[in-house]
Amino acid sequence: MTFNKEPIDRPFNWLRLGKMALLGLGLGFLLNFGQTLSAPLDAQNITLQLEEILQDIRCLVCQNESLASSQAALAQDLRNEIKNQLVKGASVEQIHQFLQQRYGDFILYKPPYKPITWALWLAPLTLLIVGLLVLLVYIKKFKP
Amino acid sequence: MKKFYIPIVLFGILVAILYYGMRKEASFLPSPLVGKEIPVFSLPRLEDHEKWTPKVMLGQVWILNVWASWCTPCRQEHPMVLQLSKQVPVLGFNYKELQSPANLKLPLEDQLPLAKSSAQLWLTRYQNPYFETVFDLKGSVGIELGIYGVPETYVLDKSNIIRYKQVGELTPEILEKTILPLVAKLKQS
Repeated sequence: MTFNKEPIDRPFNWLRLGKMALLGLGLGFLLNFGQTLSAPLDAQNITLQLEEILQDIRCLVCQNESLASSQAALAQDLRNEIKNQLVKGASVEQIHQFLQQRYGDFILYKPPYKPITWALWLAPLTLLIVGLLVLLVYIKKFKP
Repeated sequence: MKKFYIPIVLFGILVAILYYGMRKEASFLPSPLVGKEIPVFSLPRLEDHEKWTPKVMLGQVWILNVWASWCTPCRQEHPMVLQLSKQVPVLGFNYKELQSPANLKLPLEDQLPLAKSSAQLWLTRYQNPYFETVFDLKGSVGIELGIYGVPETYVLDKSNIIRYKQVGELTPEILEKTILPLVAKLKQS
């Protein structure tokens, strides 16, 4: 078998190009999939879980940043703490509770539903309903 | 014509609420630890190789003041802490004295003497208001206490229950109007 053949002069074929592209894409996916599987499942789970949890937690030092994005030293400490707790098998609820007991509800972006936050949770829906009612009344008035 | 005013009035109310929200100090947060007993901890003391725990304060009204030598607002509130220390024992809770990455790479037993000497330097230079200084090098007790902005000041009653928490530097106003009256009240009970 020789490899230094003359290049075959084939007409440009869109179908062929498409097939090749698909093959490449498929290979890429396979490789990616293999890589995903090769990492220890536990460690990866924790990393994913950690990322998800950190999105919902406020950095108290720089209040408009999440714990995931903050560069503050305290954020780093808390990230480590949360990771350790995840490794020890703590649930998301337990971690939220841990943080709430120390830093208060404000550390969670999603405040818990309780008497003091009722207004916060129910105001948008109430305003929407009131708005719709007002709108209905107006529309009825304009009817001939 | 009356209807025309309703949206304007509503808008005015909204502006007032938002303006109030803007003016309010955003860094002040109610601490869930107020009303609870101080978490149990044991930290190295400045003077010797012994550890200090809050248990020894039972029966006394006392103050826990979070500080570090790198903390600039700590120097601003320092005269207030000195004034406070004449009325009530103030514990210096040193939070993460070492900040440089090079120092933090040292083994822990080497970090402590370094932290102690740097804290001592600050205390000698500006006068030491604390009856005792303890070191939380890694900030782990800090997490238990919910510390997020140095300086912080806690007022504790005779049963070690946290009665007040101040995040950020003390001001003469807070000292006179809130902390000193609270200390006097707690001492009587």
